[in-house]
Amino acid sequence: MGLKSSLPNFSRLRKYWVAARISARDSSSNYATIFSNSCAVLVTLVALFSVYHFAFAARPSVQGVTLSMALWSIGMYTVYWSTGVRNVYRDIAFDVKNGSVEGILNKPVDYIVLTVCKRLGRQTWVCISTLTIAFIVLFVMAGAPPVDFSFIWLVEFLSLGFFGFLLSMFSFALIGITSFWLDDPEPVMWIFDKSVMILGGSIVPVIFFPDWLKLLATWLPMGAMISFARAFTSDFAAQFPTLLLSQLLWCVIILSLAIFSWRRAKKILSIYGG
Amino acid sequence: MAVKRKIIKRSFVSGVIAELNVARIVWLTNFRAAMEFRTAFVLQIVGMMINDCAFLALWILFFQVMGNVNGWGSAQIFALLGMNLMCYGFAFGFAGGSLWMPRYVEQGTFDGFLLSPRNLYIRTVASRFDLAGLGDAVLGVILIIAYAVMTGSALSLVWFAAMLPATMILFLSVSVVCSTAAFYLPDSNHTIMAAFKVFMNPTMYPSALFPKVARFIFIVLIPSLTVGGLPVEAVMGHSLLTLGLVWLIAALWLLLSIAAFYGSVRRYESGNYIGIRG
Repeated sequence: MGLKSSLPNFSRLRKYWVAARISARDSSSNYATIFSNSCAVLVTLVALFSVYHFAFAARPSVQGVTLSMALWSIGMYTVYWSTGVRNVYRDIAFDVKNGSVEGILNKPVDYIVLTVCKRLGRQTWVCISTLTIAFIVLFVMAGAPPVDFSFIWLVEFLSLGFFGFLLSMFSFALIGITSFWLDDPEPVMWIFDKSVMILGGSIVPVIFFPDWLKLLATWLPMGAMISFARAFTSDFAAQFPTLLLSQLLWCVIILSLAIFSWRRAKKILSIYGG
Repeated sequence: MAVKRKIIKRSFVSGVIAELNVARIVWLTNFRAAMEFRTAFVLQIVGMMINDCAFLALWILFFQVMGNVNGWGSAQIFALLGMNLMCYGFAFGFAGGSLWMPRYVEQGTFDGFLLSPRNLYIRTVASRFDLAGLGDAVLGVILIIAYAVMTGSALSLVWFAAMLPATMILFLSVSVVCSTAAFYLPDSNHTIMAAFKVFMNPTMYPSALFPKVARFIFIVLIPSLTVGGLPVEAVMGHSLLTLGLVWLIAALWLLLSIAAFYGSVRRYESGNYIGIRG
């Protein structure tokens, strides 16, 4: 009995799994969206990689970085983008704006967890298709990943990917919660999202950054989210402990902030009825 | 005969003026509505300007690492981004309705436009005033002036001004063509936005760094480089031929968008939605 009560009650999580599954099934019928998203990723990557091919045409490496390293690092931003976790803020803001949040709050579910699960479910097929396209483009235009594969490398890469994903989820949920105070959280999102774009190495890989910007990319949450992209650079093993520490630290801080803000948000919520 | 032609010409001109007058009233109404939420108003404009600076920072960093490539450096990035922001800002600031079309069709509010005695195309695209677009446009003007100062060429301002209407028309035309998918696909908003990104994303890339085949694709088939990169090349080389090419591509896309719009509207089925439009 004691052991049973100390274990998390997984049956309570089942409803979120079901919500995610329903959303995934619902979105799977929208072939046009899946196709157009894949096209957008294809065109963006081909255009950006063409630019890099041109820039590297007359030289084998720039500052010790090869074309392959640069392209694989940039490609990881697409991996982050394809998860669609950044859209969680939009879902929350939409529910707050149109008032449907009040209808969900009195149900026996956690609104934020439900919204995140629904979003992840909705994103499943887009994620699978865009990742497939992204990896095909990467292999064709950048060749095989420039790393010596080992079990330790894989564990380090996956752990940075996992905690980066959690960090993005908490951060975008927090931005969504700000919509209880702001009329429109979109500008906050723009600034945050573009900081992720810069510090995550979406166009210029972090390895090319000057030292001060590299430091910001390591220690700010916007860079820490995509620090798994650095797995394709030569000094990754040495950087790994710092990158992981930064991610864990920000996970704790932003999760605490999100929980605190959510409690405050529920207090200031005005129910109009209807 | 000459009198008849004169009357037709005058009625066409007065018709266009009447359409623009209606559009002006719609913009003013939407602008006042946006001003109601002052915090959001200021945040949107400032937020969008900071948002845009990210691209500037990224490409300046790129050219610092790579050095000047094929005649392009940081100054050209100012011009590229400035041109993009100006045409995006002015086009969607005043005619953001093109990207709202899927929502109008989905919600059935498109009925209101069909019943309007005004020109359907202009009435639809001018129906939205996008606040964030103002932030884009202001920053775009600043960047273009910065380019003129950096290169010491005041004449470049005239060149950019000569191409701005064409690039705005092109931007709007591509968005209208994408949005017409709303008449064929159910729940098409996300699809259309993703399709528009196919055009939109490469507009921010330096055109001189594209290989020949890619250049052809991104100038004619997906005219992304025609919006930003090609105008900058025209200014750099003072090329009237490139200027003409930008206008020609814009004109062709405008015709295509008008044909696609009126062809697609025929498929619209009224949702019997009753409401009042401002």
